[in-house]
Amino acid sequence: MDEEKGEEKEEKMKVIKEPIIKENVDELAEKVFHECINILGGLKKLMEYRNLTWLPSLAEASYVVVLKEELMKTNREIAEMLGITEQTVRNILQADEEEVKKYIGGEIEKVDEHKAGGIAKLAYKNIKRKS
Amino acid sequence: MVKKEFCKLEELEGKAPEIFGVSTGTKLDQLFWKIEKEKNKIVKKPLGGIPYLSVMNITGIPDSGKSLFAEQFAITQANEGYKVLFVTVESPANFLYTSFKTKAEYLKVDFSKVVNNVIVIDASAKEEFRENPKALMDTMAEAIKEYHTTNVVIDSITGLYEHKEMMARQIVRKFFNFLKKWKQTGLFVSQKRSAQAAETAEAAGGLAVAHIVDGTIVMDKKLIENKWEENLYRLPVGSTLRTIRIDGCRLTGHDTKPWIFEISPAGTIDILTPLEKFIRRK
Repeated sequence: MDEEKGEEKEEKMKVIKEPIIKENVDELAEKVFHECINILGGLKKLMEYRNLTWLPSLAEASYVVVLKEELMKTNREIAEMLGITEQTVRNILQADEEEVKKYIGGEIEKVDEHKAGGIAKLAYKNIKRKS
Repeated sequence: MVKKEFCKLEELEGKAPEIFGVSTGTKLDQLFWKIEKEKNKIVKKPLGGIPYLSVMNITGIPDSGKSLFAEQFAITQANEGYKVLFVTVESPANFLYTSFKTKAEYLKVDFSKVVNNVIVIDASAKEEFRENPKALMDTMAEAIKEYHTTNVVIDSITGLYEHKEMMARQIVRKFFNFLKKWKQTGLFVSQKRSAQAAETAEAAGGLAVAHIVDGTIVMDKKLIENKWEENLYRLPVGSTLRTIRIDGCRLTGHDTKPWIFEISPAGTIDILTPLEKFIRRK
């Protein structure tokens, strides 16, 4: 019998070798994008004000914010991943969301910030606050 | 309704964590202290470990004993019955197993306790863990929930921003906040770059790591190279002098002197005496 031979049973340590991902980047970017639309008053309002052309910029900004905040990618990496310039990435990430908030709330008439960037940053913060 | 983002200091009374030590299994446990009032006198008492719920950074040049210290901490905690989540970014899990086993035998620790209480995330082999902090943190969160860990070791945090040191501050901040959120006592091992002074808290990514974490432990080694050093340290030329020092801790008081330590043949840390006493020995 093995036990009589005094064979030792090798003890096993718990080793996690594969990542457990609850929510991938694409899903989170989509959530941020939807929250952007909510911040702007919903899809219908965007349509009524003929602002549907904002959607591609909002999608792009949502991805930029998520890649920066969640994956800690550098501006260059984000630019390469999304096929945009590093300057666009910088503009999105440097957008003053409070200024943009005032603009969409009608408090100020003009804003020099990257509007989609500011909205995406606000949306990301809202999502994180809720989770 | 807008959530209140401020509070009066008195509202924090019930939320303030108790201050006690989490043992590292080394003499360093006696080098952190707390102040207590006893019979109208203020007394200094050893904490018995690194402060509970603190996130400490261990830095040093290569082969200064950082990983050995981190492993000894994990073994000590596991032996005391606490669960440890060990994220290995440098050494593959099977090598870590052998290292733990050797140390446990040397320290006369029941290895079955180590096996039961240490949970390893092997980030050394899987690039996604190193390149995607979210994936690593999601996995760590699942492990913390499932195994109810109370301690986390990341060896090394530098491995998570190896080729993008300009991101060090953001990455370290994320992991620091993560450990605080999950109420873990943590050790981050961080490497030094060749241009950085060996005795300082500076590490890869500059002082970012040291500024963010609750405290830094600096490990150093010095090769005795000439007659002057031979006379000063009274060690033969060619020998190695190892020191460990608590560079800072914002949570509790601590000793600030460099202490001499030795590494045993099994790779365990034995802290001996303050450097000043070592120099003056007869």
